[in-house]
Amino acid sequence: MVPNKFKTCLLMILFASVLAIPAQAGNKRIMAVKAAKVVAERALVESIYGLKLRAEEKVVDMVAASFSGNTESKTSAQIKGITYEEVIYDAEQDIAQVTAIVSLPSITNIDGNFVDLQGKVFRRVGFASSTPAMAGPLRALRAAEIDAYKELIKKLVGFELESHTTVENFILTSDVVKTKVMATLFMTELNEYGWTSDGNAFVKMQLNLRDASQMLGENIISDSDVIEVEGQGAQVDDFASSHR
Amino acid sequence: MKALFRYCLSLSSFLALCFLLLPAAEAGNRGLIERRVGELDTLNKRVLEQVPERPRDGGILLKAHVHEQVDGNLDVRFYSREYSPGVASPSLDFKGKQYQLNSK
Repeated sequence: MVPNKFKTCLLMILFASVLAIPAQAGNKRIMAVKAAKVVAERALVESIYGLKLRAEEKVVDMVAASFSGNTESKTSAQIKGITYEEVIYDAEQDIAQVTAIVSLPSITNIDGNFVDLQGKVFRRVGFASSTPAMAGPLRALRAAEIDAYKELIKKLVGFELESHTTVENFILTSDVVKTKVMATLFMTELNEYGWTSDGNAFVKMQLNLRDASQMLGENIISDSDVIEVEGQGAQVDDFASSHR
Repeated sequence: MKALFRYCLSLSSFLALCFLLLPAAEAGNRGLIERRVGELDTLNKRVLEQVPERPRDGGILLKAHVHEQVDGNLDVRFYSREYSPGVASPSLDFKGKQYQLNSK
């Protein structure tokens, strides 16, 4: 026997669900997909045309609390003929994923050099969300990309080191260590990306120097054909919050 | 009914305790920074090992271009090296020495 009150309640819920206005199609999906396309296009420009990157890191007395690091990147170019291979929209998380592809015969890169791309196909992925609260993993991925670019430059051309160290009785005590990187980079390829179980993002990037040499028509002097690096990025600044 | 209520209460308490005891699984930059600081320390020590005539005491201010090779070795080109002297500790000689104090 079902009580009358329960029956009434059940009927009211049924009515409410029937009368409820159906969810209307909004612009969230369109906005997220558009933004993801822009992000993927930028990644392609960075890969093919190239980017300028400036990075600095400083640590005092080897205390992590004193660490400061910042990296800036800049690029601007027009590339025609980009197509989108894969468009995925996760409505629950309001996150769009787009894979952009382009194949160009040639390009004048960021350094003003003519590069014979020989129709090589470049493929990059972009993510975006119209909900700021959902953008954490995406910001971490971008941070990982920038970190990977920086690591590639460091491996390719090296970096400037400034160090002020105190020596006492043959024991080295580091006081101030600064590193600086400033260079342009192009022809980068993204091989792998993802997020670790704790949510930090990683990006595996490579620079094929043999291909780059052929395309540039110049011999790039290096002790390896392919330079591979891994960049990392975090979602949350728990470092700053733990030192407040 | 009472038994069910007790069961629910103990289950929710257990879950709350588990939640509190579990480490925070949020992604953060703390670990990444701590590792980077360690890397910078190691790098600095490796570069300093290549400084010729390293003083026993004092400070070294150096500027260099560093390029890590495929084999892991560092190619270091120093732009500038400045040494600041430390305080040298005086030595006392106790063998066959006689000292006088000039007191008025």
